[in-house]
Amino acid sequence: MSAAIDLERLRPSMEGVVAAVLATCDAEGQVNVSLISQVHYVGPGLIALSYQFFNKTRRNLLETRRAAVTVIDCATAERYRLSLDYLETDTEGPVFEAMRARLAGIASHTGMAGVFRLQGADLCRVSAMEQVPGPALPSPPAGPSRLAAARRVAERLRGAADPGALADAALAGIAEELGITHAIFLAADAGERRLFTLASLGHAETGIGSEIAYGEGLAGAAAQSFAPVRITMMTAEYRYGAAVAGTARSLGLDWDRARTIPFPGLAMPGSQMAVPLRFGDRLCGVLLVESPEILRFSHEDEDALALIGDQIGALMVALDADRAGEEPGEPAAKDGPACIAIRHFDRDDSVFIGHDYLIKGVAGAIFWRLLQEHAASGRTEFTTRELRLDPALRLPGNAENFDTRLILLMRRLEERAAPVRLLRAGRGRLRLALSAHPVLSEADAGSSARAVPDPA
Amino acid sequence: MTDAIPPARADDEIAAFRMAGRPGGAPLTADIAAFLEAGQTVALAAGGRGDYPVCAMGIGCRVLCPAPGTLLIRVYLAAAANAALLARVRAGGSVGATLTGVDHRSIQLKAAHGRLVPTGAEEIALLHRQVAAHRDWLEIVGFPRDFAETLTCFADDDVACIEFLPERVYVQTPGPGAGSRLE
Repeated sequence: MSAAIDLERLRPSMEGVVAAVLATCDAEGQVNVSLISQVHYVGPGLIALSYQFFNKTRRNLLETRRAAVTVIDCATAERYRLSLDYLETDTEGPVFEAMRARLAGIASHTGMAGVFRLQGADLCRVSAMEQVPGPALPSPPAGPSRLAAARRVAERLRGAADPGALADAALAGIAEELGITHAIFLAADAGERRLFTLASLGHAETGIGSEIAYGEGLAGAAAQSFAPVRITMMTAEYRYGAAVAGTARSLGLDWDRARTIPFPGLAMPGSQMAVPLRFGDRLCGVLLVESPEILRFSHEDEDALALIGDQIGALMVALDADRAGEEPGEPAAKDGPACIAIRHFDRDDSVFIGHDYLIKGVAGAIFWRLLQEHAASGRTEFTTRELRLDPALRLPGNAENFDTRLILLMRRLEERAAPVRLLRAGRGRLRLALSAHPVLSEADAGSSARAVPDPA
Repeated sequence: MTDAIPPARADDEIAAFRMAGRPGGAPLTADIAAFLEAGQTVALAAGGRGDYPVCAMGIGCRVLCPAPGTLLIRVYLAAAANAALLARVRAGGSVGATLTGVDHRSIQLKAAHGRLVPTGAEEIALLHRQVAAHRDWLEIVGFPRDFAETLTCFADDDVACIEFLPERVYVQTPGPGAGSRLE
């Protein structure tokens, strides 16, 4: 059996649970040995070592390009010895991001936060490997097949008619088939490089409509690196409340809690994993799963969720294309009594219903456009096509994820029990359902309150 | 896991080394010698020019003082599982040993050569004491008892010993000052 095939079976030795022994030599042959907190499985025949400090190990690696490492299986205590040829150092990209997140977790868990910090991922080819004879614990039971579970989740996704149903099916699927108790389904806004919550599982607050930027927290890291990122021992660095507020402040931005929907999530997660929802080179979203337990998600869970993530990504693109092909309809009737103030902030398209923040960004712009049109003409029925083509909405690119934004808006209105709802009214049609009389005002353009025609 | 144990600092190690007395100019302070024998994680390696090094987890360590100002280090490892490393030492390869504690305090000892010597009965008893201490701290940081026992167990009749003069001593504790030579 080749080293490459065997290496995959060594993945439990590369979880960062038990420190590995790393040895290098200088040009004169003097050996240097140290403990290393992270050996990262990259792929068949390839691993990466964490480069944190420019120390003797680092100098030797660059000088002789050879190393040896002993890794220890975190379940059985079996030891494996690998001979390594150094190839190159990554300072960005998927391997680097995955290692950086994992290392932050290890550091936090071992009291070394602020000391361990990844500077690079030293990629090495494994030229030889052997199991070191010695005592070992029995391997833990294999558990249910992740591949079969991934297949069952994929089958559940096929019937989804829109991105909302797809998100619901995905969360229900991973809950039932993979036993995941907490998850957040985020759709991507590629233009703004932001992720917004479309659905969540297991959290008291759904957080629908909450947003994070690419690069923030673990989901942001998965979006940025376009690759799965997993932390087996969770760290405060990747928690969201701190991450989002901290990033905003570090950028000198106004941290406006009133205009921010709290991101859902466990207060003290033990493990987290985020997988991108990809189609080709396009990022459609991120699926973030978490657990209060440490070491909850294994390499096998990552394999399964990565497969599911790409299946979701492909379906999101297909559903978006389907919706774009639907035909326009015609204007129709009116409904609803009473008055409700609705304010719009042009600077970020945020919309408030009464005093309550509803939504911002593209979804906010769509909602405001519908309300304005309703105010001007009394229309309550609209077509998705007219919105896609509306130059006032300034939709990014070719309006990717347009339907996802509509679903987000619908869900947010529903969740807030808003007096204005947006409903499907047949293929390619939307209907404003009004239980109150909207009074619109542009909040940052002076007071231009405008009453709509009496809804009938 | 180890929030209650503050991490050691390389800077502190360097300062303490400079402050401490070293009778006869010995390469180690008494504090470091005690640390080495207290039951730590033992990482061992042997190397040579133009080849891959060989590394292993060791069992324990002993500091000998055969003459004033002279120290000998003995490190112990499973013999059968580490034939390649022992062969490298026997062939005149360089030797390195890094001992790391629960608080990440870490000391590396290096020598251009070492030699294999028999392990005495009193050394086996010493190793059992060291391993028991090591096992305890593995449990403190969260490893299950059976895992800690499996990781540290050894057979009394399968212990090899590498003896060497510590030509160079380094502080390996992560952070500023890591990798500094203690002299």
